[in-house]
Amino acid sequence: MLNLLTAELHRVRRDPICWLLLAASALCGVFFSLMSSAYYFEDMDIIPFYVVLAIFISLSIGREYADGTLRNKIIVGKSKSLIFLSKLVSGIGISLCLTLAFLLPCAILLYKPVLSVKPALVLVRLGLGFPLLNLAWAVLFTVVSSLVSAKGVGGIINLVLIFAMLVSSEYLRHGLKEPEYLPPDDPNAYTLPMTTEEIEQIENDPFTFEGFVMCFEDADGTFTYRKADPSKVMENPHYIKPPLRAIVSAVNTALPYEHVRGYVACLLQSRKESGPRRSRTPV
Amino acid sequence: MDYVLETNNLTKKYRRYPALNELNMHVPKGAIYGLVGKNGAGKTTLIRLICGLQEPTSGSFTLYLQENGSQSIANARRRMGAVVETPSIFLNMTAEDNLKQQSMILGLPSYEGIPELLKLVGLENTGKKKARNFSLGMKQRLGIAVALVGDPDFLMLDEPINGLDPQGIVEMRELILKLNRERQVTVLISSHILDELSRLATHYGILDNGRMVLELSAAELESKFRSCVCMEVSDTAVLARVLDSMNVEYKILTATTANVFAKTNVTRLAAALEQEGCEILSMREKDESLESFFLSLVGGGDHA
Repeated sequence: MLNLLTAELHRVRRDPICWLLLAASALCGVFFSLMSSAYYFEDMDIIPFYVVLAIFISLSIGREYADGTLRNKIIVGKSKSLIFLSKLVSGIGISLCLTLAFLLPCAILLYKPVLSVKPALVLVRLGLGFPLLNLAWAVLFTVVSSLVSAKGVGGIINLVLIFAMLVSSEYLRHGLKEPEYLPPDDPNAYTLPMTTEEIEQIENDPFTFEGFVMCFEDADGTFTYRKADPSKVMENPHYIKPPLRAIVSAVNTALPYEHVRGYVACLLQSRKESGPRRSRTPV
Repeated sequence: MDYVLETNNLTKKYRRYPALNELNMHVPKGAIYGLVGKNGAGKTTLIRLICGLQEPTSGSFTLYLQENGSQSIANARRRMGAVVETPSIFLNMTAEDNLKQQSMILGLPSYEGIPELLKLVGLENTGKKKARNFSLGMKQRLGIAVALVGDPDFLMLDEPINGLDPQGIVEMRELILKLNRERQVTVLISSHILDELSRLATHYGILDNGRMVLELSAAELESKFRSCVCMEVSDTAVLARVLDSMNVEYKILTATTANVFAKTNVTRLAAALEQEGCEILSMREKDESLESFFLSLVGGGDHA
């Protein structure tokens, strides 16, 4: 295995495409850093990075199929599983290098504004979460490229995979966000006021309360609780009901794109934890 | 006799189509084994099976006495090098880098042998030229050099002279002979170019429809070749009548040419023909080639 990995490293180092894509990844980082309107990462768009990663891994493995160089390894007695494992490890290594090339410009260009608003924990999350996410994508791209021997086809499948996951994740997420009930324009028409005991129950132990509760906030910041009148509420036909909801939710969670979103959401959450939003400063 | 490679009823089926059908072959140590067969006879499939690129449907083979499927076959394969179909080289690397790459795969401790190997295949002066800029002959030779990394005792070459120019063919022949004579490398070559193969091979295996039709040494093959005299006459019908009367075996090729398969008294034959009013236009002695022998064995429906 070590021999195969050493050979992989030798091959990658001599591959001009690798250096080109490393530069492209760094440019992606610079572009993202400069274009990001906020140091809160709320409009973080890292899909181009995955496109770069998909292209590199597909070309790297596909070319070995095309040149027939995989045969040299099998002929001298290396097992196919070991060869693909070495490809997987090298794919992960490449993804880490590309991630580093992406993050380095971000760190240089954004460190001042980020440090001013983000706690150190968030930066650690950024530093660890992003490479881990990329590993998941690298594994996915490596598996596809290893299974498809045609270089071009493997690359196309990987690119389609990125956008298919993006679209399917959006679609599933949209479905999961659908409310169970459709509120009419006037909430008073389908809700009832709640007693003091019921409000206490909601605030202290919300899971024991049976029924659908809505919370309204008026201009003064005062919260008003009202419970739904079962005889008047309108059920949302697009609401995904259990047990299908659990399945859809699991599928959505399993999609790597949802992880990207979750990662960004985690950063946004940290923003809320770190205090009130400050005025934006140009980067 | 020590065999480097033996197959025992080796069969490979693609769905229902048998590419190899209970094939038995024996490659003696130190031989240059010429694998002869039409397109689709199963030559490349056989090489791919031996190399571990595909798995046999049934049957077995032993490589250096190690049976396929056993744990030790991987060690036996380390003693083997192969160029299957096209040379397996990294086109974006130099010749030296390609050999270093293979050395790393094999886990060789140093690159000491690389300059010698480059010299052996005549690529010592390629410098920083990338393999993609090599000629076909150079690529073939680099492919062989890659296969020779780790000093294998057994080399398998699948159609090594396909697409080479005459000079490239001569260089390839010399390289194979050099490897066999100077390094005692056992070589298995599959080739369509039978004339070229006959200048190299010490043993032959003739494949047809996935079966081994005949396996023999070059000496045995030579004894099987039938010498004949190719005669051009004004009328082969008269020639046939005269030869029949002399009880001589012959084969009419055209209206004016025929092969005569026996040593005849030329004066007597000429006199007999003159008596019948038939002229002898030309006569030349002819040895049956490997090609004609091959065609007589497997039929000449497709080109070899």
